[in-house]
Amino acid sequence: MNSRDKRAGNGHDFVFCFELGNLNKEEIMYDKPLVEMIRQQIKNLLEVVSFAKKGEEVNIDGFKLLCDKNSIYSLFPWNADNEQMK
Amino acid sequence: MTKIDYETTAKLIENQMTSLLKIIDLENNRKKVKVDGFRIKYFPSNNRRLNERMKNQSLGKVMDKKKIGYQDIEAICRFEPRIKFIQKQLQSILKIGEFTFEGHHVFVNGFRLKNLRHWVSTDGEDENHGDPYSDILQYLSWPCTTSCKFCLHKGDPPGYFSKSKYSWITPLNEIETRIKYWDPENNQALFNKSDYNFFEILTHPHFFSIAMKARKKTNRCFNIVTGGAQLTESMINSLEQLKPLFLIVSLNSHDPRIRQSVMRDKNPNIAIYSLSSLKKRKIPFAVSLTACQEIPLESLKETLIHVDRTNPYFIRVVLDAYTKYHPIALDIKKSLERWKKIVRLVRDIRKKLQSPLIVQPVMFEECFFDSKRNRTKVEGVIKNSPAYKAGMRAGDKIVSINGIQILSRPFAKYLLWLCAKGGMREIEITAKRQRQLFTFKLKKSYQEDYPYFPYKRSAPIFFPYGLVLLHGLNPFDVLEIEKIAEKFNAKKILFLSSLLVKPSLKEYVRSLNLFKDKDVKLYIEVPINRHFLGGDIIVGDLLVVDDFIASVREWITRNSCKPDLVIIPSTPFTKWKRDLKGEVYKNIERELGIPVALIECARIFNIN
Repeated sequence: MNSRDKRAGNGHDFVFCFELGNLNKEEIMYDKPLVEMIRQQIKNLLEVVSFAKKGEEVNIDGFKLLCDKNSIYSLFPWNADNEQMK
Repeated sequence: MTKIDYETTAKLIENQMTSLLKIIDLENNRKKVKVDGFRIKYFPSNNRRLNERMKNQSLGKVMDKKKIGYQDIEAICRFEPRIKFIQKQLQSILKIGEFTFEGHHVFVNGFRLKNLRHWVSTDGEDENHGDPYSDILQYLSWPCTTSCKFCLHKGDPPGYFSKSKYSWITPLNEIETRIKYWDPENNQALFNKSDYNFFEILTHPHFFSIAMKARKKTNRCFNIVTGGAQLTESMINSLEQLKPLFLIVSLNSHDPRIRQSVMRDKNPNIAIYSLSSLKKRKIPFAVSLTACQEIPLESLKETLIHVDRTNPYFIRVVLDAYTKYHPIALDIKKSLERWKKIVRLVRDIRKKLQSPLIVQPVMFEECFFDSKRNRTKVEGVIKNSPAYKAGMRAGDKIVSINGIQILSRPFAKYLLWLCAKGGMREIEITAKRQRQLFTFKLKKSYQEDYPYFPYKRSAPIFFPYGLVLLHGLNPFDVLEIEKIAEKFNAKKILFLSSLLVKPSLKEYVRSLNLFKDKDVKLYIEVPINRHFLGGDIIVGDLLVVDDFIASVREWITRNSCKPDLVIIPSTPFTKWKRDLKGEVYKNIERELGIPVALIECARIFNIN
């Protein structure tokens, strides 16, 4: 038994550890780091939630920065056709 | 970057990290680290404080000096994707910034969960929660003492399930922690890591101590699958303490030479003689026989006859299938022919056996051998069960239960389950036998006779009242297709089915007059299993997102048009809507640009 096993009987919870790893380079769509960060965050969110409006599910595939109403950034590489693409 | 960009981004990260740090701690090389700020890489001098309270974090004791592996986040993500969500959030933040403590850079390469109470989920998030095997006992998986040629794990796709040899062995205190947070009566437990774990648990050095701890928390039946090599008299003696207990013994052959050659079992007689010991100790068991090509059909027949004499609850014959990575990987056409030969043998010998005899996957026999599908036929009757004592027999066709007319087998199963769950001690079944109608009164006893289910205050996990009815396609699920089509206003619908279910589905579409008088076309396609498991696996529940995407693309090419809507059964996906690889089904719609709807239905691969 290792030290963690010995502690099992003392009521100490097992510690679930996870490696951080690095962002897969293939996952990077935009060469603007702050835009890319937000894209990643929304995309990550879509792995666990779907958005809704007035009780109905809505699908999204892009976003705009509030400070720039002209540029729409795609969330997914397969439907990105705007000029901001890398 | 302007000042506004910096402020907005910094605020965003501050808010996120403040939320994240409530549920995780950051670490570097398995040592917890203190963090009280961050800075964006483009503004190294602008150190941003996260939260005043973060200053007072305690590091706690160093958990480990030895290197211990990180959890497999990909495996967990099927059942608890929020952990991967945290990982991805941290990755994206660290791409543009770094963490600090008292102004100095802190290296971070991992994170750990803070309070495990936050991570207890219910059966709403994982339908298996509450089941002792799924929540606790499966983590006792230990290397088998046999080495079966047909073992599924020999065909694991690279990197899937076991990243390295024995990396799937669960630390003892993780199992104990899981027991601590397990609430079987409310179907609550910590997130699962796998539903694809077929190793032996009876070989685990701490099997009994852990099983006894689990037993103290629930009176639910322990359903254990074993290769049988551990079932010595002494082991069976000890297993009695864990009742209520149900064993599925993967005997595969009663011939010691075959067990030796096919399973590399050094003491084949232990498993072979265990059945009579289990019978003596009144531990209900089923026998599983994998009909692999190394076992001659004649030998399979002899094993069936031999096993029948030991009074098993049921016998199942598993049609073996392998991934493309397996050493035995086979051609699907040859496999289909071989499986049909096996089923012909089963159908022939079934009439001569007392024990219910079932083929798995359960839809195979009906798909290829029955002209009428989803009949309310009783496949078998468990000996000494209420149905047996009432006089019901295999082949009876149920007409009504307590006066309620039964039109499909799934409905009969559902009603029986409802009656049993509701504690109905007596039910009345009308059934047809050789064109005559009979009425049977099934009475449950407080303690049933062996082998049915000789335990008080615990329900059998299989076949209420002892009636063996196989799964089938539920007509109510089929009717849902119309409702979904209406919701999407779709005129051209592509339904992605499976080889085994498609015939029943087509029959129901016709008999239920789906889309009658409506200008709607329903196309039913069977995706090929090629992107992940491959091989000769035909069960639809093992398809992945990539298989579905490929199937739709092929359909579009063949038909030179796009469907308005794609419908897929929910069964290949977990409650979190993730396939075997952990990919979310939504990616099908995102990649194809076509709406995709899941139709919620029950799995029909297994027996119960």
